[in-house]
Amino acid sequence: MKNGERAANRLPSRVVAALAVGPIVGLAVFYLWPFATLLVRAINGSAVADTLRRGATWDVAWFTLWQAVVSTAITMLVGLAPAYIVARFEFPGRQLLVGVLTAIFVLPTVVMGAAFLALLPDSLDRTVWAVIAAHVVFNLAVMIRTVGAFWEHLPVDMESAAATLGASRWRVFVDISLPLLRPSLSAAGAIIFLFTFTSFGVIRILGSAGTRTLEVEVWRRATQLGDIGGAAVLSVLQLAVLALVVGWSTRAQRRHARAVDLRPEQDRRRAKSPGERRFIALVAIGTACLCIGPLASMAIRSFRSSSGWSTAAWTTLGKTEVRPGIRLGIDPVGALVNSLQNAAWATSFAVVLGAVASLAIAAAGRGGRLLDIGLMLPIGTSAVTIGFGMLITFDTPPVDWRAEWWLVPVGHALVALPFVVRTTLGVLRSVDPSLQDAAATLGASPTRAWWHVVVPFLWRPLAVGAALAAAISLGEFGATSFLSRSGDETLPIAIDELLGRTGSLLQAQGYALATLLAVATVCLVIGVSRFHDATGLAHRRSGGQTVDR
Amino acid sequence: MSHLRVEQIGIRFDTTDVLRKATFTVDRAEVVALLGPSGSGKTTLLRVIAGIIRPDSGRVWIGANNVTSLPTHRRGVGLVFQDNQLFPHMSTIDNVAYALRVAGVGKAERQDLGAAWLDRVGLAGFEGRNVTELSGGEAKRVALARTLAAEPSVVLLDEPLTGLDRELHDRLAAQLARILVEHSITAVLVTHDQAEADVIASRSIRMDQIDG
Repeated sequence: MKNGERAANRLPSRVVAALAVGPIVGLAVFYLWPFATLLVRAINGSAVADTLRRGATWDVAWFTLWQAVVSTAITMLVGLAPAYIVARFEFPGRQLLVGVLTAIFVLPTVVMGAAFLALLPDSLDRTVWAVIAAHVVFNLAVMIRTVGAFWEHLPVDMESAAATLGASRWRVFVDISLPLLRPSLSAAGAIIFLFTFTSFGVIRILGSAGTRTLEVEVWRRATQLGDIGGAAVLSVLQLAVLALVVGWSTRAQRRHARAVDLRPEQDRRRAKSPGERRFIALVAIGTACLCIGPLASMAIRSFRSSSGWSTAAWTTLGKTEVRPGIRLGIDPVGALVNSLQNAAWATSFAVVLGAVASLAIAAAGRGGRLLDIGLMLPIGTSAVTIGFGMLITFDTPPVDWRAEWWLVPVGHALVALPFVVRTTLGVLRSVDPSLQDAAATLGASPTRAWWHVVVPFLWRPLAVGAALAAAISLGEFGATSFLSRSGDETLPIAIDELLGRTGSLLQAQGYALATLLAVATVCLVIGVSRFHDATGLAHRRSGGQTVDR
Repeated sequence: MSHLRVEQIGIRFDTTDVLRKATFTVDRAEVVALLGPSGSGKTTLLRVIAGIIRPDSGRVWIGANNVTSLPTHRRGVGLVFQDNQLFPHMSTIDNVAYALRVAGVGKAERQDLGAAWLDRVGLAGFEGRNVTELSGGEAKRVALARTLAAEPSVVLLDEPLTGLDRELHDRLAAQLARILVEHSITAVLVTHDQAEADVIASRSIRMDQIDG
């Protein structure tokens, strides 16, 4: 076989081609075509000039930019201390703190928005400060995972060396740690900026007319104002900014990268002095309160009504009437059922397509790289852009699929697919090629050897991928905002609608649904991490934020 | 009176006693070699003296001062690490002159002083070199110059010549011995090589003699 030496798994090329057909067609129809449609709509006609001439466009662009810059700066400042203590010290509750931060990060953005809506006083609700607070807490995990992980591997002795030369702890931090951390700080900064620049769910819940990001404006123009051309222009404008930031970040990381002798594992030490113990306790407890406080408020608010404590929000979730004979068109339990159905289908689509795509990529050698890159594209595209592209592409016969039940799960599957592929591909690539040789020497044909040797490795990573896909689908908000139809609301859509209404019962129901969604997501992610540990897979980010921003 | 006094130092990691009651003294301008096999606690003892590790028991005196609870940066103790620990984001001269920068010495003066130290260790002209591109022997000498430029009250040398080929090792050992004597430096050398100790140090003690 021509590519045999380069491919991780060996398989006849016609079988590889057969496996690749499904993912290629899926990608072309549901990603590339909508994306191309979006670009064409953006550059066609007078939309560009009209949109860019409008003062409101630049107001939104300016707000998007400055709130992202401020959110990123505050997250990085607040996140440095927890990143430091997690990287350098062993203390009771350390694992729990990392777990809590990770759990927060994978929560759907609507849940985070709801949590801060519940926590903050009315005077701060619907203000930019509420939005920034939610962004900061949401993204603390990026600092721990990116900067903390790097810090953990920086040689402690280098800091000790500076101390023996007379540098105080602060001086060591400024002169030694900070410059060496720069590549990881650039990476974390770029990730947090991208997330906050494309913020959608948090803004929809916590924002107001004056606090709209480009992402929210795309949704508003497309679905509320019918300005498809303007929305397309804004989508492309946003993509251009994102491309610039990614380019800058890559260059900055390369420029600041040093030949540091990173240590694979260093013993974290216990606090040496009472001062250190106080510092660790303060940072750990403060960070935990920042993370848990909003979620606890959300759960508590689901038990509050205008007359005091009440379980009414939970007991009336199944009723669509707010008063006898009066309906608001929101069916909380219906939304839950819809979300579960969507999650089941989206998971099935993502797992089947992800499995065959991974098998094809692992067996196709260099040829598979293109498919691999193609399947990663949805990660770099906001969910709103994906949903918007699908909405304007599949709206005319013979592809008027807007009313089809499967369009929402397909959108979710597209967003989840990269995670399934990444989880699975690593395992397939690590299968020792000599195992297939051994099977061949025992008389197995190449296809049979592959079936018996490679395919059995598929199931465990696929189970992890399935749980990730389910978590992603349950919390998906960006694409769903475009694709879901009235009466078929999903949980995040129902939460957004309930929290947007007045009336303490409806609000409490919104908080109750958000609590349910938070618990479901955390359970799925805990399941993933258990499996993850069992299969020894590298940690990969998952969940809400990548998906619905 | 001794310049460095280590009294009854005890260190316990989990359930293992790394040091029980390590005790020894070093006179001013004396170079003492601590000899012992791997795992005998030599490096741990140096780190206790430098203040990087806090002992479970015992005291460290420098001159008339009990420095046991003093943070590393206030002890005036220099340490040459086994793996140098040069700062990769600084040039060679900036590494050597780092302690001077911390002490608030002006740029021109610290460049001159740093260059003089580079000259003393045989690396004149290396000022602008990237430390990640230095050879093993050059990096060792930069690490030594960096520590000595700080003019510490006590210099600790943690197997400073490990990993060098024999010829370079012998040359650097002789150079190190000369510098320590010329500058009347009080030093503790940790090594497992008796021959190296004989060249560099004026007195050798075995770990089992001081940590009974």
